[in-house]
Amino acid sequence: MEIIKGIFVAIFCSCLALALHLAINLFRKGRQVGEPAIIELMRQTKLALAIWVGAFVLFIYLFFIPPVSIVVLTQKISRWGQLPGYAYGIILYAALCFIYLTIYYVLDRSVSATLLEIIENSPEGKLSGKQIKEIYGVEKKYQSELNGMLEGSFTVEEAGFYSNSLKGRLYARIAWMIKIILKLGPGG
Amino acid sequence: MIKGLYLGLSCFLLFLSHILIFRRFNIRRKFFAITVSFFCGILIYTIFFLVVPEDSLHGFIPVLILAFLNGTFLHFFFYYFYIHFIQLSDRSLATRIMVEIEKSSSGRLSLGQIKQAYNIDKKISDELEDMVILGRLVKESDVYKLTPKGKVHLAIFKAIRTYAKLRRS
Repeated sequence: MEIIKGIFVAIFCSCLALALHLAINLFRKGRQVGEPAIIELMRQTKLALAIWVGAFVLFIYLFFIPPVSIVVLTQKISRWGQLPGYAYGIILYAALCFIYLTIYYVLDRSVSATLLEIIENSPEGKLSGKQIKEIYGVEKKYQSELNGMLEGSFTVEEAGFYSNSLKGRLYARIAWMIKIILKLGPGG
Repeated sequence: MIKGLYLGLSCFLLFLSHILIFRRFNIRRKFFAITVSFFCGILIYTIFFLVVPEDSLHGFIPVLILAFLNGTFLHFFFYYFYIHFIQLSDRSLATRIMVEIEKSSSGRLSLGQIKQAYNIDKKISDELEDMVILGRLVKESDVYKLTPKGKVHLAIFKAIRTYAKLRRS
């Protein structure tokens, strides 16, 4: 019962935080022309964190003094036997794996870490932008990214043309929507 | 619920064992191996869920504390998920290419057209400038040098990449 209550309160508070973040973005200017890409992303991260920490106070309150609707919902679900426990165990497992995979992705694909390595490996420990790009191999990067997208079934290749698969289209449209709502510009 | 929670956590620890496999063997298709490990984890979880009695895992931690910690984890997990998705939408090269394909009138682009729509050369320049802002690099008359912070950042990345035998992207 207590665990189900905690899950519902967390979902409720996070939905509230998400709605608040999206609503605030309606009134924000977003990324300015010529502004370094990282600045707006840092602002968004800090804003969302402040909202989520605020919502955590609400989480604590609702966890210890839950509204009647959450208590009733919790009681209903706890009568379903072992199914909620089984499903939640898988959700928790998937959530933990997701966190791990995002860290794995950053370690595996980080462009910035590779650029740092290129600079460090140079004989003098310093390089110009042009030299870095030559060593990094911009041309190869296009092909390696496309290969990764083909391997992940996000993209399909036909007669030299690349198009998005259904999975790729769905993902691209969500990402595109997020960029518009949060006024991030083209990014990339 | 408590059984699912403990077993989910245990199976995740089991899933992590693929890091040791990567270390021991030279696995080429690493992402495929991770996917297989993930589904094996679900299978093992299901078997244990059916075999382990419901009451056997009660009492390690008081239920109220466990429920509070679990709820707190979920709350901040949603934040992490959301921020990660924003970052991926904004920074990922692959995402940008997919959006450019989606925005094109025919819904398909050749490599040459992708290069016209999205300039990775500029992306590298932006990455370098971002690292100057973040204090990982210092720029002196068009030449970039690592700062002590950048060296620490790189040392962590290199150590993990070397341990897990990950490629340099």
